[in-house]
Amino acid sequence: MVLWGWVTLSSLLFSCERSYPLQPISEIPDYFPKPFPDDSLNKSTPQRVLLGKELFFETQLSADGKVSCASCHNPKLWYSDKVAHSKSAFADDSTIRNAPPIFNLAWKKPFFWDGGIKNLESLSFAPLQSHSEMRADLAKQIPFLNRKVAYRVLARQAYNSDTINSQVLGRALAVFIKSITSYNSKWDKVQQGKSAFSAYELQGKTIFERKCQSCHKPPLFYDNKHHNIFLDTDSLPKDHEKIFYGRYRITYNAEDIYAYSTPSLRNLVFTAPYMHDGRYKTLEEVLTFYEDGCRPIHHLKSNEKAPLLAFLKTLTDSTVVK
Amino acid sequence: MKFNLKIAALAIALSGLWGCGKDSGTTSNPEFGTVKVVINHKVNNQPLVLSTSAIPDSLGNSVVPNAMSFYLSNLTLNGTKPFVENLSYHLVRVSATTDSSVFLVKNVPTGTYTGLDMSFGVDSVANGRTDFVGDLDISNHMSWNWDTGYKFLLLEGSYVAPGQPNQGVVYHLGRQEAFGKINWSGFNGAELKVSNEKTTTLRLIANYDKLFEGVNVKTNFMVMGPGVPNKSVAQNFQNKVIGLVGVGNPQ
Ligand code: HEC
Ligand code: HEC
Repeated sequence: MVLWGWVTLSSLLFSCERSYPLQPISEIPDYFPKPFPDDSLNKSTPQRVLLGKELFFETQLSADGKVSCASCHNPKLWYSDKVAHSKSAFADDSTIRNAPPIFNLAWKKPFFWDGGIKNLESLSFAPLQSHSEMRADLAKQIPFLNRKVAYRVLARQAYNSDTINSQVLGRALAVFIKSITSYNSKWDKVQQGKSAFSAYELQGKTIFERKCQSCHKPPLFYDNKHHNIFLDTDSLPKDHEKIFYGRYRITYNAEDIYAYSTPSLRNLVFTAPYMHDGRYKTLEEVLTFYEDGCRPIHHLKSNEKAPLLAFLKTLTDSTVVK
Repeated sequence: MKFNLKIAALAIALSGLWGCGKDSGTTSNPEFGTVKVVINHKVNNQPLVLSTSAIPDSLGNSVVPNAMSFYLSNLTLNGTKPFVENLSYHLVRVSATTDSSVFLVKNVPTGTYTGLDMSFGVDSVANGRTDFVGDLDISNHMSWNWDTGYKFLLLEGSYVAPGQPNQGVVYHLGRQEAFGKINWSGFNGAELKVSNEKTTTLRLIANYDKLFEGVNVKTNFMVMGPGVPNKSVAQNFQNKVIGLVGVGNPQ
């Protein structure tokens, strides 16, 4: 009986028009490393994913009732948005940093450009409460959600809780976020023996292996580390709790000044603009930055840019737009 | 939203599945009692009044707090059979209307206790995530959302110095370096008795005179990260601010 209830509930929810690129973690390809184990207090279950998914699209979690997580993390853009700085609730403020895409975060730790967030269970409270994002007062927003029977049912199903509370909120969103995976690019098909790179892409791959993959490590194309790639060289203002100092604001280690988390290079064609502040509108601009020989990192030759770009495009997983 | 209506209808149909048959029996358990912890906030032997009282800094100027709260945690009552409180995190807020704060320690086994251990702040396990309910709930505004962890002590107010315009002051103490243990091996000569019939009172004092001892607030008016002011104020709190007054045992 309970099982029947669950199956019916889920089919009703899944029947609505949204489409999600949800691929179960159990089907991840064998050339991927093992993801971090589930949080011991927050194991992934289908019910939790479902609740998290509903909350992710819930505009009532913002102060003006108009902004949801999906406003800045649009599923059609691999959960990113088109602007460098996203607008807040009431559209009177905007984020200082660029909203990154969301996929393959089950392998990532820590989170945010500066690594200030220790786990996904704690992450959502930042956008929820930030003035430049959803500006929620949880003491108001949560009772509002609980007026809907649907949420109370899902909270019961997922967490055996009578109501949504901040814990259920943070944990369900974490499980949903972790469930978003991407491994259906041409690059993946090549790994699986189902496709082959063109000669031009192979040329790009060689350049990539020499100059990029020490940080953008396949198959995730990130390394869970922070690097200063010398985007910023002047001393920047210390306001906004030192946000312009990168990882330094978290660790207070001098070597972390201007260091940012290595982003994945999967799905770049969906995720412009680029870098922690969205300063580059196109991939060509990014590669021109990497061409600059004055920086103490491998620099590109100008004739390497085109084949490298062709290779980067093999990292595109289009399941999200289908 | 379409889905909510459908779900609501179904939920009502299914609601019988999860009968809300939770009954909260309040029968007193003969083996457990309650300790009421009362903290009196004082400056210069006067009740601390938000937006009025002045706490001195190392230059002899004043910090006038508008808001102040802190965490006391990991409470243990020592004795032949020590009592370790489960999920022991108490948010103490200085109120605008009274000079004392109260929290209850429940389900303490009846008996006699000889001393008390507590911590200032939130231990590293709980400080590694912020998805808790109760006193650690994120909606209490005592956490850093962009740098996962809790503010062990929050003081916001203004800095008042002669011949100078007032300057905003923000002290958000936290991180492992600010965490510390507080212990009292006795209750000022008395023992603490817990009975299942009447509540025992444990009286603490927070005397803020020395909170900023050795700290120049004029140059350190915004403290939100690691460093000397963060550590010094936290240590002052543990060693010079919080104190034990005594116990009110059930008569
Ligand atoms: C107003 C725009 C906005 C909204 C709304 C928003 N975010 Fe974000 N999100 C951002 C920005 C900007 C960042 C980068 C923050 C940083 O690194 O400092 C970010 C970062 C993230 C990341 C980090 C990914 C990584 O790789 O480290 C996740 C996950 C995330 N957001 C999930 C959410 C969830 C869940 C919600 C809803 C509760 C949400 N976001 C709402 C803009 C937004
Ligand atoms: C030393 C490590 C390192 C190396 C080597 C490196 N990157 Fe990066 N890359 C980073 C970091 C860190 C960022 C984020 C920087 C920021 O936003 O401040 C980044 C950002 C990017 C971005 C923007 C992605 C986004 O979503 O915003 C692209 C594209 C990129 N790198 C491509 C490359 C290419 C191509 C190469 C080789 C020519 C390369 N990187 C070499 C560390 C590295």
